[in-house]
Amino acid sequence: MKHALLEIDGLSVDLLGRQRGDGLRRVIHDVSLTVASGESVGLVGESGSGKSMTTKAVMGLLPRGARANGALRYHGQDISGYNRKELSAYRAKQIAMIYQDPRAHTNPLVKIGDFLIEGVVAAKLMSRADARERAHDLLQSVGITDAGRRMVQYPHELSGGLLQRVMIVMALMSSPSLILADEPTTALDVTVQSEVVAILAEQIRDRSLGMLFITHDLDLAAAISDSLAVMYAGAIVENGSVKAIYDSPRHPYTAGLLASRPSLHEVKRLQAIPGRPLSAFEVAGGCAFASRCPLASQRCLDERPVMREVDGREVACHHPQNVELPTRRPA
Amino acid sequence: MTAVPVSGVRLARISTAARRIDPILATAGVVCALLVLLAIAGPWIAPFPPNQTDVLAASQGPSATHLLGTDSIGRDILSRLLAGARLSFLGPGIIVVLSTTLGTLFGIACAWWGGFVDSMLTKAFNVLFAIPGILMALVAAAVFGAGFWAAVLSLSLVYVPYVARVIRSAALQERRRPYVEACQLAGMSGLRICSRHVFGNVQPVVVAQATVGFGSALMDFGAASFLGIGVQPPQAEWGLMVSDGRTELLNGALQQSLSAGALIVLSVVAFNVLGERLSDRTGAGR
Amino acid sequence: MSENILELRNLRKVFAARSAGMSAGIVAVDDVSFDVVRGSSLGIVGESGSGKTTTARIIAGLETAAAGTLDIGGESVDMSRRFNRGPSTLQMVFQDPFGSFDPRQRIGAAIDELLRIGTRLDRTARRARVADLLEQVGLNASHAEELPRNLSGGQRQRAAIARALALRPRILILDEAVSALDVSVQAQVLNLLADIRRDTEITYLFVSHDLAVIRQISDRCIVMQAGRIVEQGTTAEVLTDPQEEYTKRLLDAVPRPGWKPGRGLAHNGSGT
Repeated sequence: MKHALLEIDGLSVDLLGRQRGDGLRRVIHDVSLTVASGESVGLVGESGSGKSMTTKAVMGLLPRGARANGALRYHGQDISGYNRKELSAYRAKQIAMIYQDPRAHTNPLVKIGDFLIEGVVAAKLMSRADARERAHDLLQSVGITDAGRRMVQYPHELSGGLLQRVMIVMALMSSPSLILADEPTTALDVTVQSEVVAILAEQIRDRSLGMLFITHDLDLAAAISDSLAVMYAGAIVENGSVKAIYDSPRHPYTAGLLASRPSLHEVKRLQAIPGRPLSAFEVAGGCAFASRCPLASQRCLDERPVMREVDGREVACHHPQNVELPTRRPA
Repeated sequence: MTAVPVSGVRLARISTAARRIDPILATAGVVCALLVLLAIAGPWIAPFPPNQTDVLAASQGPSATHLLGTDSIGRDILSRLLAGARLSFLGPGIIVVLSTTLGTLFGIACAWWGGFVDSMLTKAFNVLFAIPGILMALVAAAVFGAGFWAAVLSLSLVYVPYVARVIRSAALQERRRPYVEACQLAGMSGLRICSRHVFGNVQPVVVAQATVGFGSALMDFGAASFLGIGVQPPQAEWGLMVSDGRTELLNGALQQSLSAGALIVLSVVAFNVLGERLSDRTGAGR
Repeated sequence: MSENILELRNLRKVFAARSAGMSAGIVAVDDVSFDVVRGSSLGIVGESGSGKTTTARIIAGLETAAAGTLDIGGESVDMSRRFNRGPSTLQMVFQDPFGSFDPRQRIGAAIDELLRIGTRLDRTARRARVADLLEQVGLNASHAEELPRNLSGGQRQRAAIARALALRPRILILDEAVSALDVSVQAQVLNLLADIRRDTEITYLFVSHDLAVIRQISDRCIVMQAGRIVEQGTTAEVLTDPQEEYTKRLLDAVPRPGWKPGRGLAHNGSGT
C-alpha cells in the first residue's frame, strides 16, 4: 500500500458570481482523489470540468471569494487550515506547479538563471551558489546541454519547448514531493510535446515524485499516468488504473470521449456526444451527464449517482454495465 | 442542441446588468446631468438678468436679495453663475464634438490603412502633442483676436491627437479580429466595415474619451477666459468671473472668484470621474 | 474525369525584415505547388512555423505573394493583390470561434449582411436563406436572434460555417477550424463538415496540426515543414505508410493507444 501523498476528500468549491448580487456558483462538486508518492495521476476533462480549479485548490491558490468545503490533506496534514506562513512554506517546498503557458509565468526582464534560483534562495532553502549549481545540473538532466549559456539568456530567446523544460527545472529546484502539471504541453507542437512529456515522465520516475497531470487529451494522459480520473461538470465520474479505464471504460462520458476522437488509421463516422460540456453550476439535479447521455433513464434525472466500485475501478453512474465499449486499433 | 435554455440565459443577463451599477459612476453621472441641465436652463432660473448693473449695490456681500452678493459693478453673482454656465459648457461642448469627430476619423483611418497614412498622421500628431492647449489659444488670440471662437477652435485642434491616439489603439485591436477578415472576404467595402463594425465596437471608447475630454476642455476653456483670451466681458462665464473677482479678493470678498472657481472644479471632477469610470468599463467589458 | 479546381505553382512568400539588423526576410513559404480536385478535400499538415497557415491565407487572398501562380477554376488569379478571389469563389472559417463574429451583431444579422452585399435576394428571401443555412449546420432558426456571446464555442463555429456557406463558395478554407473546440464538440463539427461535403460539391482546404483530424477530414494531404512540402499523397498513404523521415517523426509523436512518449523526435537536437 503506497503512502498517500495527496488526499483530496470531498472537495467542493463555489465561486462568487461575476457581478455583485449574483449567488454562488458551484464549480467543483464533491471531488475525492488520491495521489501516492511515485504515482502519476492523469486528471482528464474538457471545458467546465473543474480540473484547473482543482489544481488551484491543491496549491491553495483559489481566487478571492471562493468558498471551499471538504478536506485537502498533504502527508496526512490538512492544508485548508494552514495560515499564510504555512501555506507559503507548503507551496515553496512541498509541491510545485507547471503551467500551460511558460511565457505568462516568466518575467521577461529576468535571466533564466536568476529566475530559477530566486524561489529557493528567497525561501532560504540553499545558498545562491548552491542554487546556481543545482539549476545548472537540472538543466542538463532535462536535455539542455548548453546549460551555462542558457542561464544567462532571457525568456524570449528560448523557444516554447525549451522554456517549458526550464519550467520543469523550476518545479524541481525545491525538491518537491508532488508536481502539478496543468496542461503543460497543450500549447506545444506535437513533436515537442512528446519530448517534454518524456522528460517529465523520466524525472518523475527517477525521483519517485507524485504527479497530477491535467489535460483534455485522454491518449496523452493514458501514456504518462498510472491512473486516470475523468472529470465532468466539476465532478469525477470515473477513477481507476489506466488499463482498466482506457481499455474498458464504464462511464458513458469516458466511452463517449474515447469514441469521439478521430483515428489516425481509419475514417469513420465519429460518435459525437450531442450538446456541449457543462459546468457544475449549469446542472440542476440528478446526474450531470444525463442531458447528453444515451443511457439516461428517469433515475438519472432524479438521483445523482455516487462513486462506487465497478469492475476494478470507481464509477459514478447508474448504468455502468450497459456502456458500449469502443473498438480501437492499438498503435 | 444546448442544455441551458436560451431564454433563461437572456433573463439572467438583464438582471445582472441592472445590479452592475457602480455607485460612484452613478453619482458622477447624476452630477454631470444636473450641470448640463443647469447650462441649458441657467438664464431662465436666474433671479436677475446677468448683465443688469446697479452701481449703488456694487460689491455687496451675500444678502436676502443677492444670495451670493454682487460684483464690482452691481451685477448679481448668482445670476451670472447660472447664466454663465451656458457659455462655460458650450465652449467645451463644441471643442469635444469637433475634436472627437476628427480624432475618431483619423484614429480609425490610421488603424485601417496603416502604412504610410498611419506614419504620416502619427508624426503630425506628435507635433501637436508638443503644443500645450493654452499656448495654441494664445496664438489664435494673437492672430485672430481674442474671443469665444478663437479659443474653441484652437483648443479643438490641440485635442484631436489625444482622441486619435486612443481611438487608433482601440481600432487596431478591433481590426485584428477574424470577423473583419471574414467581412473583407465577403466583399464588404472598407468604408462599411469601418463605419458599421469597427466604429460600433470602439464607440464605448469614444464616449469615455469624449467625457474625459470634456473635463479637460472645461479647464482649458475656463483658463483661456480667465487669461482674457477667451470669452470677453461683459459676457457671463465662469473662468472670466474668477478673473473679475480677483480685485475683490484683496478686499476680502471671496464670493465671485470662489463660487465660479468651485463650480469649475466641481464640473471638471464630475466629468473626469465619469469619463474614467466609463473607460474602465469599456476596458473590462471586453 | 474530375478537374482541378485549384492549381498552385511555385508559391513563395517572404515576410520583410522587421529591423535593420536582419539581412534577409523570413521565408515563410518556399516553392510550394499542389493541385486540388473539384469536390475533394486537401489537408495541409504541419507544426508551427511550417507555413501552412500562410499558404492558406495567400490562397484565400488575405496575404499577397510575389512569386508563384495560382489558378482557380481554370482562371489565373493575381496573387499580388488581396481580396480579389471573389466571395462566391472561396470563403474561410477561422480558428477562433470567439473573434469570428462582430460581438455586437446578432448571428442572423451577420449572415444577412453578407447576403445583402453578395446577392440580389429581397428581405424575405434572405430571411429564409438564413434559416436554411442555420438548419444546415445543425442550429435552429431561432439562433439567428442570438448574440455571439450567448452561444457556445461549438455553436459559434457552426454559425461561422453557415456564414461561410452563405454565398455558395466553391472552395472553403478551414484554418485550424476545430482546434479550439472541446474533443466531444470537435467530433460534431467534423461530422457536420463531412455531411456538407457529401451534400454539396464544395471543395475543402483544411489546415491543421492534428494528424488524426486530417485523416478524418481529407482525401489527400500535404505535409509542410519550414515552408516546404515534405511529402504529399492520399491521406491514407501518407499517414499509414509515410516515406519521409519528418512525416514518420510526426506520426511517432502523436498520442494514441499504446503510445509511449519519446525523446529525439523534435527537430532541434539540443533542445526545442
